[in-house]
Amino acid sequence: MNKAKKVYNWFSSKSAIMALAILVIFSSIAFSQRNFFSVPSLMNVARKAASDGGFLALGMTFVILIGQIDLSVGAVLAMSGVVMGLFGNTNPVLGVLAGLGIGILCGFLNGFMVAKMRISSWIASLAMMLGLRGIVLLITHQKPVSISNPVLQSLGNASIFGVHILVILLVVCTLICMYIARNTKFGMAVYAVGGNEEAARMMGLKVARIKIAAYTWCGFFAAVAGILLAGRLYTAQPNAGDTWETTAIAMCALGGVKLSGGEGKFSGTFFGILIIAVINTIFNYAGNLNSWWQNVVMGVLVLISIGVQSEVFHMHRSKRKETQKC
Amino acid sequence: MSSAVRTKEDTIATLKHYSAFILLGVMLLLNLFITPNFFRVGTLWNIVTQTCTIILTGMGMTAVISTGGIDISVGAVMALAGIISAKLLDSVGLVPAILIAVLFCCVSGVIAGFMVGRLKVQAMVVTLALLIGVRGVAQLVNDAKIFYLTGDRAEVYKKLGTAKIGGVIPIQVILIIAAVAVTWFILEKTMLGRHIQAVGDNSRSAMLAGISATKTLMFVYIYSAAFAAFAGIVATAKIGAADGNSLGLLAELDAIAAVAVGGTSMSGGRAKVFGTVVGALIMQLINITVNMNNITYEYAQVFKAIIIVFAVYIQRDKAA
Amino acid sequence: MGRDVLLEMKGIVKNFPGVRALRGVDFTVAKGEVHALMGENGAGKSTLIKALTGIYQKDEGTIRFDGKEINPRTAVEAQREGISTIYQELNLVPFQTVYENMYLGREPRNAFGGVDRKKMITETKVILNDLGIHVDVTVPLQKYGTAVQQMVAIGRAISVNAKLVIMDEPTSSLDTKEVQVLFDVIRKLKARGIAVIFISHRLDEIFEICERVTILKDGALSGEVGIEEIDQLKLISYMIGGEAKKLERTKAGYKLQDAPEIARMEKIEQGLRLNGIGIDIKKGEVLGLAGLLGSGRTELAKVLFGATQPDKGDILWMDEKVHFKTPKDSIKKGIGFCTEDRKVEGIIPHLSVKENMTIAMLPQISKYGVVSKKKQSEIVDEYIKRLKIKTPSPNQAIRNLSGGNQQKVLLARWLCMNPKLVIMDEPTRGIDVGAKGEIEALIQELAGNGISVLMISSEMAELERNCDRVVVMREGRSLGQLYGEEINQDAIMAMIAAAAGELEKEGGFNE
Repeated sequence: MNKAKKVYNWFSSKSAIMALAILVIFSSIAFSQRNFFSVPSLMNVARKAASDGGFLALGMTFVILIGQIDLSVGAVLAMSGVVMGLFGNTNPVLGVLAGLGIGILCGFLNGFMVAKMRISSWIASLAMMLGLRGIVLLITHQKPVSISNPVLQSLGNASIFGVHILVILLVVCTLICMYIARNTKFGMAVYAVGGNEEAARMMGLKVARIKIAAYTWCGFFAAVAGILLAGRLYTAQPNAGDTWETTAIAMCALGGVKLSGGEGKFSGTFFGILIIAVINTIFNYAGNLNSWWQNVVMGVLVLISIGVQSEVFHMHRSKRKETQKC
Repeated sequence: MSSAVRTKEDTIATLKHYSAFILLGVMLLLNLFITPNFFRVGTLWNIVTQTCTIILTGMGMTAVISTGGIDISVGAVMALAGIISAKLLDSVGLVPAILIAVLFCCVSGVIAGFMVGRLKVQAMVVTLALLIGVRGVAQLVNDAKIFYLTGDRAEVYKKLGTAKIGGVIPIQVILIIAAVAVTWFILEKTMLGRHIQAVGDNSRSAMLAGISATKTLMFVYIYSAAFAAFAGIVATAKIGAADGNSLGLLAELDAIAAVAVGGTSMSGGRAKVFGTVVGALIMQLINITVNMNNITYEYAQVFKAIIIVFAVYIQRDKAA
Repeated sequence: MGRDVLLEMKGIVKNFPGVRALRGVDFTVAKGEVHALMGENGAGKSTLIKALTGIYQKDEGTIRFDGKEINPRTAVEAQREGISTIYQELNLVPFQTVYENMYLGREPRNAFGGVDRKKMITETKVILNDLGIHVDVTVPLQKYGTAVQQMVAIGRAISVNAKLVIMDEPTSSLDTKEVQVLFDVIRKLKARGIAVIFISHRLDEIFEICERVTILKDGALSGEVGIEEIDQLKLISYMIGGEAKKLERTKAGYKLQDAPEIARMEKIEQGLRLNGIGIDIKKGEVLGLAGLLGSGRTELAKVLFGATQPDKGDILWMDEKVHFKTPKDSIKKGIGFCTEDRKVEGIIPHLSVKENMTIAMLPQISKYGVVSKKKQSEIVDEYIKRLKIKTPSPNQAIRNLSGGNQQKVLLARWLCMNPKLVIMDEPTRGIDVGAKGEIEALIQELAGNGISVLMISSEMAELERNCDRVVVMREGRSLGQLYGEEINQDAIMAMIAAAAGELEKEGGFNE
């Protein structure tokens, strides 16, 4: 019993890494003739990880850790890209700042609706998503905004020592998030609010402020994603990031971030991002015909991972405790 | 506790209770003045026809949300039902095709119900996984290509979305009435309905009164999946084609918005079936208003966002 | 004695809608004193504590703490004054590490402006080691049991320089060894001059660790004495003894020796709360479970009802071995359960009186799953009349009713099922006098009709008036039974008090 528990605990804590390892092994066998393990191919995985909503997942992790949800990240992504495009072609610095600023503002508003107006995070962020997407489409007249400034273009395309800038930035951002989570008062407070809001309040934490801050970070990272995406594609698409909130949430879930709040790590989210990137790459290699399996695999993977991490096992353990308490 | 004070509180409570209806009334009035030709029969039927999928999915969603859960897989389930029924149409015939499609979708509901009810996993994660996975299956069925309905059988199928009874009343009206009636009946008149409300309101008391939460939750998720399936079929019939990629995309959000605007609390409890209908109508009315006044469609989205926040904000419980 | 006064609460009054929870209570704690606060449920202990820690705002009275008048508006403010509370539901974050819990909200900074984890870890170790606790402080708190979690909460209180630590039933889920560890810690607190308010229902513990005891009853001060001045019996009588008013017992002697047995529980064990207790209930009998809070009465009832599962032991229903997996099973056999905590475990707040009353009997009044409105209304009307339930309409949401009327609706929920056995846990708690009498009359009526009643009550007088037989419990065991006219509060209290020595001799109850 005890041993089984230990093994189980190890597996559940490392489930993201395990899943990733299994996927890599599987794919390397399946596609060995195509050199999955070659440098360019691994680079490809990494770049995909950075471009397919990886930054959104980082921001989403903050919000999920406080036990809430943000459906508006895709729309914020589009908004920031567009705003950067509108201001940035003459003055790239202003463009980037404006893009980040609008993302931060949207995040703040989400947080305000959830923490101060006490609207369910589903509804608040859903409204933000609808409204923001509408505004983006309005100001762009549904046409892409081209990014002609070379500085902005290089933001999404440059390489440093042969490593794509997106990869570097994703790693840097993950490290920053890990630092925030581990080494700041805010980071610890985020876990406390998500883990036991009442206790956090009793310990003198300003719960509403922390919630707003978590949403603001989420908005910030959505803006980063939007700026980089627009730079990479040379255009800011008003439809950019549509439905990406789902992918971002799935990345978090795969990375072992509990959607009930308070538990999970940014390193986990990072592995979640990689897992989805590997899946995407595998299906790219496998040819177009089968690529629709991609969603199926992703869905099943999320189901399995939450199944393993679910309370079922813990329930048996906690049952005794519960009966004692009653 | 003077009676005047209580009257005022009562009035506020009543206003709150009917706020969705009032909102709808205000919007209709507004349209009367600003929108030319608004109160023509054609316009009204149009609103109803276009609201059909939201109301159908909204009925299932109302049941799910009133247990304190959520089902974000309805859009993907719509796509699955649409594409399966369209593809099977020629080989097995209309009714079997629809039945098989609905059954397949119910499997998704069973998975959701089992994981939420029995394994106690958060509804959101489970249905998120289903959203992704079921969408994938829907794409697989026809290699993510659009399946156009052609042939004799298809003409009958299309009638499900285009027929007009007596040449006037669109078939959607009948479907809406049926769906709302069934849901209202189940939630208000049956034992199951009481169980759903009880589990959503106070699951501990419900358990101690001998109610099985697992079974109840199982039912609502299957119910939601079945309604999503019907919605997908109607949508497919109306367009005359099934597209695994885009059919029902974001439909879950429309449904959630309709439920929330209609006054059903997101944290569970009293289901407001007619509220959901009104919520869906409000959402669609915004579209039509914007459309008929030649305002850019995107404004509709912004208005919707504002209305959603406003409606939910004024209806929320006062408790701290 | 003669020590400086740390806390002085004077004339504290707190009203809730319809209830006077505290009626001018005085409460004094000296510096470095371990002071027990006792009383049954509803006596006002937790209201008093909440008024002190800023969770409730008192309506009248003054609080002086450490030489000045305070008026905390929130728990955080109270903490800043030096009052820390260790709650039963521990207010810590289970997923975070021990040291993080210790420092949440007041983390030390390092040279780079970041959180200084090293310092937190070493200092947490020091704090806990001082208390005699040696654990790995870098693992999530949930890996440890309640005992350690409590120590962390206490450690946190010390490190915020608390002058007064309030412990709300700290021993309720600890085993004997853990209790001793806790007591060592309390002695260490005392040695540092920190005062402790100790709330517990275990009399032995009070006598072992506390110096003074304040007893509340019905929202008023019942007594304040030094612990060496009293014995267990006296203490019990402070808590539950009524004035010796003559109570009319409606029943004569015990006449149910030959009545058929309806239910029997044998050697039931469950966690720390039930330790091999067995009871039997006869047809038409009103069986009382007496004992102090925490003696396992409610736990036993929940096992019988199938709401929780025993670790060991058998249940027999009409001489047939049964296994109730959920309340659904026991309800089918004819058991009903009116729980103590109506709000959490009874009412379904937003549903109507009608729906609440008939929720359990829906299967009987439904055809093909459709509820028969006619039958439903008939039953509801009948019971509203029979139990004199005051509600503007059967369609009123139950949360708008008074406590007494809510209780009647819940009673009706089971009565309409034609039950064979009704369990009533504190049936008259929080109910006004008139309704109390009605409910007691109803209990007798039920028994007269051959329905058995298992009644749990902290009010000895209530048991005395209503029961045919009483099983006296302490620490999850039966101490003995009283029949018919033997039932009176002196006998019950004597039994509970007498058991103290015996249980101790056996070396506690967990090993």
